[in-house]
Amino acid sequence: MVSMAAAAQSPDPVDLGRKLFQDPQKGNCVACHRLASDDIKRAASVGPLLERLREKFPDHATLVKSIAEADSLRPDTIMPPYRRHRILTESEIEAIARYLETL
Amino acid sequence: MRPPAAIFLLVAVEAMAAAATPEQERDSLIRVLKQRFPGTTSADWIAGVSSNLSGVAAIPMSPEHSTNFADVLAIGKKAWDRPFADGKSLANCFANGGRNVAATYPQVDAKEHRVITLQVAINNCRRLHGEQEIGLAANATWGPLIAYVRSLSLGQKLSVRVPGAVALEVFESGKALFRRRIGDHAYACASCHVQHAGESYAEGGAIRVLPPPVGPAVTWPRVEPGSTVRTLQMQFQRCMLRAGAVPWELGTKEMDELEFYFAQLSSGLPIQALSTTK
Repeated sequence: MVSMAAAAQSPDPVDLGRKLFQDPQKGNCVACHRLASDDIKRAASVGPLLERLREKFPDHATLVKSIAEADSLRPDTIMPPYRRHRILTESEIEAIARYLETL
Repeated sequence: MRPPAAIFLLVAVEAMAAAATPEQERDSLIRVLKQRFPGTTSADWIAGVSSNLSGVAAIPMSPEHSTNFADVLAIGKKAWDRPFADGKSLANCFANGGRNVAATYPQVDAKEHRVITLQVAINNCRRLHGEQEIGLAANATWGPLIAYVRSLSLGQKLSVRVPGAVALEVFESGKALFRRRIGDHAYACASCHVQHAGESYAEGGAIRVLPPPVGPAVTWPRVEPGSTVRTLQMQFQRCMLRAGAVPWELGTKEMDELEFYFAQLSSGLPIQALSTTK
């Protein structure tokens, strides 16, 4: 059983992922991507619309890889090399993937 | 409908890779951009009038912006006219007192194997007359001064030549810098301004559009909120920060070569002294 203190120390990965997704110093995914709930005129268009990601990435590992090292899947991508350049830690990448799976 | 960026990039890279001369490089890039933004011309990209590119381009100097611009130009004129100790001024170093010379910069000094930007030419003049050079990082001076010199060439077509092997080498070096991925985010200039030209990105709560690289060399310096006047090289620095890179210092070999490459891409377009953003 997880104690209250332990739960407070381990934030919900989906919540953490959402924060990292928006954090300009970390994932900053909002700089390039739009969510389905965003106003199209007030959102970025550099990257693809992020929706139904569980359908698009049924394999969790592929989703993680597409975040962590997108250039290994698409060499022309503008996605930062989050893992190679240590912009995000493994747990942060995992949290973003978990958040994306809720979209 | 706009073609997907990946397809666009393939077309762009193929077209640009095939380019041999600066003119072919520019023409092939313009061709690619026209395919991407059907019905537009390079004039649209600098005038900002195209609906497809709404907000992309700079707004050229016009009566609506004249008050702010006039203030900036007045500051630049003061620096231009300030007499040297020997009684001369910057106007004495340039043909026609500086009128219609900005359209020929940057140039390449083949002997020195270096780019002569307007800043370098101005500092050469000052040195020649026993004056102290203006520091290359003196942003508050350079923006208005360069804007003023360019206002003396308003509407004149940018005519930056690549006259020989050394200049061609400089051009190729600028092109390589334009395509080199840098910084934590591994962005190249081409990543944003060719591959994703016309797309929007979010920054600090605002939505901005990535302008094509054809046009900036004739529309900068740019007046920004707070009346900051930003030269093209200052903008390069800002882009580098966005790429998570340590920006090159103003006036370095790399900066000057990149500016020379950008000038080639805008060669033939009419000069604006100043611009602002929507």
